[in-house]
Amino acid sequence: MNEKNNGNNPSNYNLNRSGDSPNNKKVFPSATGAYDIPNTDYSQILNSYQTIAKKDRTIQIIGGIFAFLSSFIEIIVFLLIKRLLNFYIPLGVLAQFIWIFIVLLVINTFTIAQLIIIFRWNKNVEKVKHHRQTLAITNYKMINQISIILFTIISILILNLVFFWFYRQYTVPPRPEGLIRILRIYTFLRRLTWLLIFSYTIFEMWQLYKWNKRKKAVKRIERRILEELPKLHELANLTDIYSDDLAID
Amino acid sequence: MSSSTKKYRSALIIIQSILEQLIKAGNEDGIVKSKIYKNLGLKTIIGEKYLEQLISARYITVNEEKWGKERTRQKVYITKRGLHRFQWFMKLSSELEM
Repeated sequence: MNEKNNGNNPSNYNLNRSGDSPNNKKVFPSATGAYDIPNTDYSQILNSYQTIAKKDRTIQIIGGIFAFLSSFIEIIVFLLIKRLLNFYIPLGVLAQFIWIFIVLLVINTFTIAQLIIIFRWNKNVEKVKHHRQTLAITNYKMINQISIILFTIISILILNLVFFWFYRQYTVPPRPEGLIRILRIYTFLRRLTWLLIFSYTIFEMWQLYKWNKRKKAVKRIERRILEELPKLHELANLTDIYSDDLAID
Repeated sequence: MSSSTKKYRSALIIIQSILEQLIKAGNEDGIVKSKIYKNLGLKTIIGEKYLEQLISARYITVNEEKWGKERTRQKVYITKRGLHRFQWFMKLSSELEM
């Protein structure tokens, strides 16, 4: 290593490479090509990070409401099915009643999983705010969770499609005597669930767009750094071999 | 180069951590090489490889300074470019806010 490698010399910077071009201005700061660095002081960077790294409240609120309502519906459906069992209804017919609610139960499970991940995401933001973790570690802990969040979003969207398929496939069976009241409640719950899933599908589609954009942005930055550090794969291999000794896990 | 950047993430975390330490230390003070290795729990041979890469990418500079009467030590400083790359990640949240 020698002093000749002086990266402080602005004339050495290749300012017109793809990462700094206006095409990437959504992700890379200073699209003009100039090295516009607002903060050189660590405390300033930390403060600006605390301002921009906001907790993700939307999934927490909407997902929470969805999980609560669908759990409530599931409990009522469970009680209804218990009563239906007294009428000696064949299992095949009974299955037609409950398919959509089984799917709802699976969607609810994924929603709760998503809530747990978002809870961890928000906890990470909190750790920076209280100086318990470095910015680099926090950032990567968050980046590593993007794929998991995307997986839950895609799973929920697929399950929502399955729900709509079952909804169209099995309509309310003819009303035998003695079941009118039960079927009325059932029909109401069925419609309510449809409305709930429909709204939730729109919300999750928006989340898919948002998180996918986030993932692409991270990849774009990482690729740019990979271009500048061509031997990164060697470093990654070495790091993996000696990862037990690292103090940054 | 593979389209997936995930497999390089362990190295990228260390790079970001090195840059963060240097920013913390301040542009004028810098940090002694051995302190960086110690703080991150890096073996010297691996730490050297990281610093070599960061120098060639012009993220950092290393200066040899006198330490005591006869001894010298190598101090590491972050460059504008290194600071800029670190801030890419820090800006990510605000850029993507919807």
